[in-house]
Amino acid sequence: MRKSLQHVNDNFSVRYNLYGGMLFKICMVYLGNKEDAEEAMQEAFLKLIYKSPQFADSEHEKAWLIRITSNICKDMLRSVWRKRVVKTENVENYFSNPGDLNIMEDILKLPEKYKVVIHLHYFEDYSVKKMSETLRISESAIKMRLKRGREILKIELEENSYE
Amino acid sequence: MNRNDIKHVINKIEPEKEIEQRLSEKIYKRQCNKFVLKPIFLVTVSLAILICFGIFGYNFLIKGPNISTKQGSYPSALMWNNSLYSGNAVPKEINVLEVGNMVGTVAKQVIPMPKHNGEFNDVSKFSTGNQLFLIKNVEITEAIAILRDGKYYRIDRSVTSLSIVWDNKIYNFEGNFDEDTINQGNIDTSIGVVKRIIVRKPYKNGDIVASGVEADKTIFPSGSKIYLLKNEGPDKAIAVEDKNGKFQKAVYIKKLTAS
Repeated sequence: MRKSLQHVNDNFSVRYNLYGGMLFKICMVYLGNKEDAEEAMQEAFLKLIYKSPQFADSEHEKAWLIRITSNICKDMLRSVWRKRVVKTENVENYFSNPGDLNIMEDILKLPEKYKVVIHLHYFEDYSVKKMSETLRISESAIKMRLKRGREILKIELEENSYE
Repeated sequence: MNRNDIKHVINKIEPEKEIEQRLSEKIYKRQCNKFVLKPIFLVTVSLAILICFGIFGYNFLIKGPNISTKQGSYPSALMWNNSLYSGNAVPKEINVLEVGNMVGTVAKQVIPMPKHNGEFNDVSKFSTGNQLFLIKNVEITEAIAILRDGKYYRIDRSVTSLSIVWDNKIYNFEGNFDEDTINQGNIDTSIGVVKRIIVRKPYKNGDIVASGVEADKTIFPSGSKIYLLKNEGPDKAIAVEDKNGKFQKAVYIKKLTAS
């Protein structure tokens, strides 16, 4: 039993170092406060440790984690126990510059289905194809969400932005 | 806003160092609980199974097989005159002066539903040895009386909510419309047609009486043919051809009264 517990702890530690930062960012973009983000991360790591499938490689594992975390966040947002308003009060703590805070608040105000697409494309530099594979959504839907998200955020169009 | 702005902003969101520690503790606790709860769960389930077997063994082997008075979704019923009579939810006591000749006795409890005359399924309403009587001015096809604890109670024939009126008689559709249909070979001559679907009195010949709200009432549209049966007279049953061309039996319940 001790061996097994130690194994769980080591497993978590390795996975947290690999994905903790990325998942926290995704959760924060979805949920807007660190308490909820931590709860979502906990669920995601529990699923990773106890219920994950056999991964082909680390990219497969990462894609699985992103999809699972995104679903957990969406479930939390839809929960009847949670007010459907993103609480942004403690986001302020991360930003000293009002301009940065404004950008973050605009991202947090995005409808939930655009958030992860905007995050993956503009922060993680995912292509439309990769997002489609990761989130299991069609490429046309990804493009549409990117377009809408970009319109809402008034993001400047880049060359080859859909590649 | 551009890509660099978004990168710059999101990059500033970093988890606190304590989060890893807290998550690690929570996951560790969850795992510990799993190890602790698993044997407890197994012991509890084993005990529950043992207790269930103990109770079952005591009831079945020592006390003998128990036929429950509660029959789940099965209605309370007594079979008599080849028909089912229901034990009314509120017993209807009747005066001895209304009671006619004795016709038989209640014989045996069965589950789930009685199939032979004298069988019943609910000990709260019937007991073996109870005597059965006719009721004066009431046809045996409509109701009979039962004598229990020195008192007479009326028990009505079980009827569905769909009936037909023909020749000033009320017939009730008892069977399952898919399974209990009449073969064409048993159908005699046509004696009339369904005229209308009605839910309230007064009824007239040709009326399909739907006393409850049920989809089945649409099975016999106006114009559906009414037939005699070859092996049963109209004092027992008639048949009506439904919209699917199947013949449905309707059994005689009572004469149409003026009220």
